[in-house]
Amino acid sequence: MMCRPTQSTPATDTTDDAALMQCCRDDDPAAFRLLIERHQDKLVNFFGRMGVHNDSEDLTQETFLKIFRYRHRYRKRAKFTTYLYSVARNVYIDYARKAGRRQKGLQQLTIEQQVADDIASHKRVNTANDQEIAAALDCLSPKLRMVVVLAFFEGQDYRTIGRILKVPVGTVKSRMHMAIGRLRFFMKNQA
Amino acid sequence: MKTEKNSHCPACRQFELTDAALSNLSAAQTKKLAHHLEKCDACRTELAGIRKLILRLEREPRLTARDPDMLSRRIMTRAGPLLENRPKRFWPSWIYPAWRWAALVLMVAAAAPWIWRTISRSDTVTVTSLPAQPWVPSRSASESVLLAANWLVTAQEPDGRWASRRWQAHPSFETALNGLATLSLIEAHRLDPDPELAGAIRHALDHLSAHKHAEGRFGPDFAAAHYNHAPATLALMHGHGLMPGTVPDMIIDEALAWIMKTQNRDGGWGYLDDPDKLSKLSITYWNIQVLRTAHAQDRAHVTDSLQQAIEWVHANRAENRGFAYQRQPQSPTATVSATLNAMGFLCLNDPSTGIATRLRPAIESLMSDAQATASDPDYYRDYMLATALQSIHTDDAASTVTEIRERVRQRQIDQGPLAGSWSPDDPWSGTGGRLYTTAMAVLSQKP
Repeated sequence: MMCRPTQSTPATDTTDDAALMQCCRDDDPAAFRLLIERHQDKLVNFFGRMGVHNDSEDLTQETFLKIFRYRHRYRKRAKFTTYLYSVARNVYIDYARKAGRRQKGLQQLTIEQQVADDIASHKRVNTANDQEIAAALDCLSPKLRMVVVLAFFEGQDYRTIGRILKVPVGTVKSRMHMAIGRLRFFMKNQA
Repeated sequence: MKTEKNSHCPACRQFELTDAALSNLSAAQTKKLAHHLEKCDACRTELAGIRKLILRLEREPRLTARDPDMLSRRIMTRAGPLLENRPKRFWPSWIYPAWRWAALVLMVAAAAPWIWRTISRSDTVTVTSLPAQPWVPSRSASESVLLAANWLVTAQEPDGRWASRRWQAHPSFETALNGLATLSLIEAHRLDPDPELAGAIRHALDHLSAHKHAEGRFGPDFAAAHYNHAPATLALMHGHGLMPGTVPDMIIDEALAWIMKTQNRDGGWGYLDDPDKLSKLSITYWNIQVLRTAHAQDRAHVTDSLQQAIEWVHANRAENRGFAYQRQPQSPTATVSATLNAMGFLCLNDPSTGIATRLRPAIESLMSDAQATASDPDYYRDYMLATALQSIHTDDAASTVTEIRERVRQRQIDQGPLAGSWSPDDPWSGTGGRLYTTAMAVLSQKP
């Protein structure tokens, strides 16, 4: 049965995200599918720009599944995308932690292969110009990188980034300042 | 909020430039900045550079799913079981928030006696700072260094180098990291002259020697080339001292010649693309260590260059505030830090002649820096402070060095394939990765 976000309107392409989440809470799979279709590219871009080249689609899937699993806990306090990126951030942190642990167990050849694969997939996706940006982004710590990715690749403002990262706006500003400085330094040296 | 000064213009905060480029300034700030930009070329250039970078970032194409339909179908398939297996709620939904409030009230009630005791105590005792954490003795310095050496040996590539990308470091600084890793192995070898360790050192020295450029430089040709060249040369010289004959004299002489050739007129060294040729303490420090080691190895031709560099450091002391990053005689806001103070002190303190009396204020400054530094990781700072304080033979300095070293050792990973290394979690790890943290931590333990 299709959920009705308001008394008269069914969940459609024009229904806002919060209303679709309300439908998800009522176990409406069609509303969930709409949310996926609307936002999956944002997440693929987010994870890809965070340096997760091969697993970005898997992490996108993981993020949506988390949202669906805990759909009953969703409360509309801010824009849905703020909630979406908060969950994506947690998924990324878990992934980075697991990747670190996994790396401990890997033999040298496996790591080299992984690096080679990453570089190859990078080349496939990006032009030479993009590669320079990607290489500079690789030099940022995840904290700084996330601010840059959310601001420039996902179009979020400082206030929203602060909410996503659960830090004050001033911290977002100082991270952005440091990130810009480092990016310029690395790109200058690369050149 | 921490602010940084624009290195080109001490009068203008770089924060404002980043904010200006992102159109995040208020009208008043914008007007003030515009007024400043009218007469400041450096800030105009800086702002144009930031804007150019932002434009490039914004023009980057979006990454998308390879097959969006398939991805959404895949997610829906995986979400299906979550829908079917959802446990039915036994209680009505309003009861859940109520339970949360009840739990909170119970917790506050349980903690009330403790809160009351704390408040009552605060009436009579003024707590100015949290008590220091008790030091839990960890493994000894030599155990720690040997464990790290073991990791470095396993992380070494078959061609004798350490691969920057594999250990989260920036490739531009791979030569520096190889130099630091080799110096760490040399330290370990002094503790335990193990043949496997000797083999790894020889292999690393061979790799470094083979990668000298025709003009005598190690590492890529870019503005910060000294950061690569100096640690690599230092490693080769120490390797030469440890295993005579491993490194040809000619390689070291050419490397030293490149350092002397690139010395600025003021006596120090800086970024190679700096049109003003302003020397920087953090670069000059490494070259002074190289020249001092060369001098100790009877390479007398470096004496003049070394003397000029030391004079530059002397002149670079900020009035009563330690050592500045670069010479700013007119500026009362010269950047000083614990790391720079320790670097300046190490440049001026010649172990062969003892501590000069004029360095006494610097020693006091070092001691207060060491006590003030928080327990947040900064292996570069800890290495500099430990090395500087170690050369001051007082009980206070010795106990501070012990504390710094103990603190560093407590962060060493002791299990798994990364056992012996240090996590890349300090402010410089974004560039140096795990190789840098491990090498600096090992060198900070140097007796």
